[in-house]
Amino acid sequence: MNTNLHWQTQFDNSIAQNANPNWLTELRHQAFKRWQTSGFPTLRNERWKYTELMPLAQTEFHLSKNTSSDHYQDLLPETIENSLRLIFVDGQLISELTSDEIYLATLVNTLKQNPAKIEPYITNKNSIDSITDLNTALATDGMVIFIPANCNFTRPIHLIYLYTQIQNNMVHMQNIVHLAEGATATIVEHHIGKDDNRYFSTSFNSIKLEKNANLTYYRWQEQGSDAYHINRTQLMQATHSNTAFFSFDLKGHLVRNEIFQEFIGENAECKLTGLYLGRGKQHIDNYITLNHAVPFCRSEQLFKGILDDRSHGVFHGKVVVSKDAQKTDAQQHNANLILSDKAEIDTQPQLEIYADDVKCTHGAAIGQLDEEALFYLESRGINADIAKQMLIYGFAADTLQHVEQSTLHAFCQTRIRHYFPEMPLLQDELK
Amino acid sequence: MSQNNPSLDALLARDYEHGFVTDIESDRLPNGLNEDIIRAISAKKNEPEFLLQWRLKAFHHWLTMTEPHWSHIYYPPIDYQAVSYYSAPKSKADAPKSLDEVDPELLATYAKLGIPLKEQEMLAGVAVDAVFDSVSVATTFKSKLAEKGIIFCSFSEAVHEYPELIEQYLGSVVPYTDNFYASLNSAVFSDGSFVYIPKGVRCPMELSTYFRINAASTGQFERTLIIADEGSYVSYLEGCTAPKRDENQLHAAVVELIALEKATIKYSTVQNWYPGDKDGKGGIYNFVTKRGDCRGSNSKISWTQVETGSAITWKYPSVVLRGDNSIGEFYSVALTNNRQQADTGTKMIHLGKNTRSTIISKGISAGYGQNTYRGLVKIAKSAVNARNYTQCDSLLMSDKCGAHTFPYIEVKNPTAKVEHEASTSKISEDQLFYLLQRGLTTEDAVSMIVNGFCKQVIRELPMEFAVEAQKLLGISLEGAVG
Repeated sequence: MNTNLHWQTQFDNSIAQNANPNWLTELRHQAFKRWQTSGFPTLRNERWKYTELMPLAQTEFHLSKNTSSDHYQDLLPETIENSLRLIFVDGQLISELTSDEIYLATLVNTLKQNPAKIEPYITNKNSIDSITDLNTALATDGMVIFIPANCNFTRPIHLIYLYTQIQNNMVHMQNIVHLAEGATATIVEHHIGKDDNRYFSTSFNSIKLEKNANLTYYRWQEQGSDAYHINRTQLMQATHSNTAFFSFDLKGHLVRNEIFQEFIGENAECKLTGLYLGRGKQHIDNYITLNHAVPFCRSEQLFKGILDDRSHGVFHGKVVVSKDAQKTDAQQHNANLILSDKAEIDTQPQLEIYADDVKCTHGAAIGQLDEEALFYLESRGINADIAKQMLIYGFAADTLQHVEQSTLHAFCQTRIRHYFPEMPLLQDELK
Repeated sequence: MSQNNPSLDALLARDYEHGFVTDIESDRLPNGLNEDIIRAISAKKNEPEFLLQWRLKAFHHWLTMTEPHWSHIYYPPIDYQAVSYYSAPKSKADAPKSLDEVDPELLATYAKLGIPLKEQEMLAGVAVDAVFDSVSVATTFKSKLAEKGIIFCSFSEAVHEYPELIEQYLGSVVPYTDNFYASLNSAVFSDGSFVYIPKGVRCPMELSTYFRINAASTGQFERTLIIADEGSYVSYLEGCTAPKRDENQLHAAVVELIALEKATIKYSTVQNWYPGDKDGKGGIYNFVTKRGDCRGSNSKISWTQVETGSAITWKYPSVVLRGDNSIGEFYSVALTNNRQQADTGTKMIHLGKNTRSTIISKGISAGYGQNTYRGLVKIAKSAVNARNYTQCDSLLMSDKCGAHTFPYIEVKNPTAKVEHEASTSKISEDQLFYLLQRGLTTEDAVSMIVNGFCKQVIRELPMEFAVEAQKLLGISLEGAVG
């Protein structure tokens, strides 16, 4: 079948099945038209220089239909203590949950009951390339979370997206998060998929923090071994707001994680921490842009990668400091550990600075395990393989240092431990 | 940067010192570019057939290419048909054999620039192959070099006398298909320098070429080829100044370096072409392709550059580390003031085992200047135990300027160790205050701090150049901080 025709059918079905408000239908039509002319970005596009999407373009993906919701139990992650748990299976919420304190609903329901609430988030989506258009055209559901002013919502909101689908399905999601003035929240976005099925998913998040708001965000990506996943987060921060953003890419076949952060108010702070673990033939691409548009903001980035087998890691981190953004303090660091002679890493830590009174540094390092550290452990009687595991785990676990809440720290540690089965138990785990 | 210092403002407003036009009759071709022009250039220079064919291949390839726009520089579109691709001083037909035969007006031009050939010949012991517009007019110390078997001559001379070397090496580092500007250069290059150092010879003096752009609206397309045979050593200096002019002048040079086994090439540049006036009017467009090939094992190529001139600098001196244990170095100071834009950096392509590279880049931005470091470090699968260290620092001296760092690091071998560090800051108030309270003027203090900032690079330059470079930095920056 003609590729364009195939996408057209998918799009027409999606429009027919969703009774959207007129403005949205119009928007989706426009986006789809743009998508039809441009298609998937190619390697010639500088933003996609290291990530080949040809296999995606050559596969005919079908929008997933109704869920057979019995196969997902074994995919579910551990429960985070005291958390609000929302489970999506193949793009559909299976457990409706409400809260008195905050607004929590699906995109579909919000569009039915209160479309005006989210209209600006959908219409102002930053259309940087055709992937945004694809998502706008086809994303019909997702989560909408509004934390009211001065609400300190202590329960972590655990959004679990499970992918159990049959071969060649696709799911497109759109999430909207808003923290009003002085609000505090913790959100965990968790993608887990079944191995061996080829499927394609995009997940777009629009997050906005008003004055004095505080957000801790965890993004966990543990897609299936043949999954294509593109995640894009647009993060806007107003005056004195504070974000701690964690990003863990542990599985998936081809994964692209994009974060577009922008300071729109002074004295705000953003800490980004990332870990990517490449094994087998995985391809993991992190594309981070931090935009210091106003003065007196601080940003910190730490991304660590471990690449084994034939995996390919890409890191693109850009800090843009506009000409008015004096007194900016921006730090960026990318460290990579290469464990195999077939693995590859391409890193681009970039600074684009138009203001003079700033403090900006960036660094990138690529290397191997420290021979001396290895020797030290071996001299203490530790088997060489285990010693290696310990050092690799130590390198990875470094990213957990900034996880402040103890319940989440425990969760993260347990979750990461799945990927280091040979690693001996630590002191605090023995207790 | 709010306080103003009147004496500094006066200095800041100072015009380009080397701006003057020497009135010499030029033998030039009409504007525009087509096959006939290329044939005409080739015929004028009496070139062998292979070179003409090579030029034509390059031209046809160039026609299929589009001008690259990925760099962080902005300029009005260039009309490549409005440029004259050949201009030679009138005395070309009977080229002078010694300085006495050189047009006195030309010598006066050099004198104004402070590089009198005779003086340099005697005092500095430097052999100068002075390029005035497109044809070499004087080559000194030739006989002394010839004793050692060193060939140092203009490119056109080499084409006639050593065609086999040219045919073997021309385009072997930068092929005519390389990029838009390199293809253009390959099609229309007028002259340049050629150096060949025979096996085991250590070149006894620094070889130097001064380039001048003179005739109005003449693009200058230089081509330099340096071959260091097994176990040889050469240090080559390139320095540039250009007279003042209001039209933008196009310059697209190509430099190819080839280092065979155990050979070392050190290539130093001080580039001080006309940067345009304080509103960005005029100035040279400098699109240069420079690449070195460490072809043999244990070879070394080192680039050092001080870029203070040109309205636009687009330049990435690179090293292909093909031989095992070969070394590549890149030391750079790029300064942009007023409306200058520089997008410069390097590429280190590691192919051989145990290859090492060092990149030290210092960018200084003042006024409305935009300074970009763009570099690639590539470790191929075959490059076992490769090592790279990169440091790029930027100094910002006004709130209107910009400093950008775009490194690309691609690693395909697990034994590689690659480090990249970068920082961006302004001149520290503390340092400035300390120097001021010791009785230094603002201007001296800034100059001292900047020279300290660039020291790692300046000390790589040969002594004569280091002095000139420090002066240049001082002149280019005076008044940038008040």
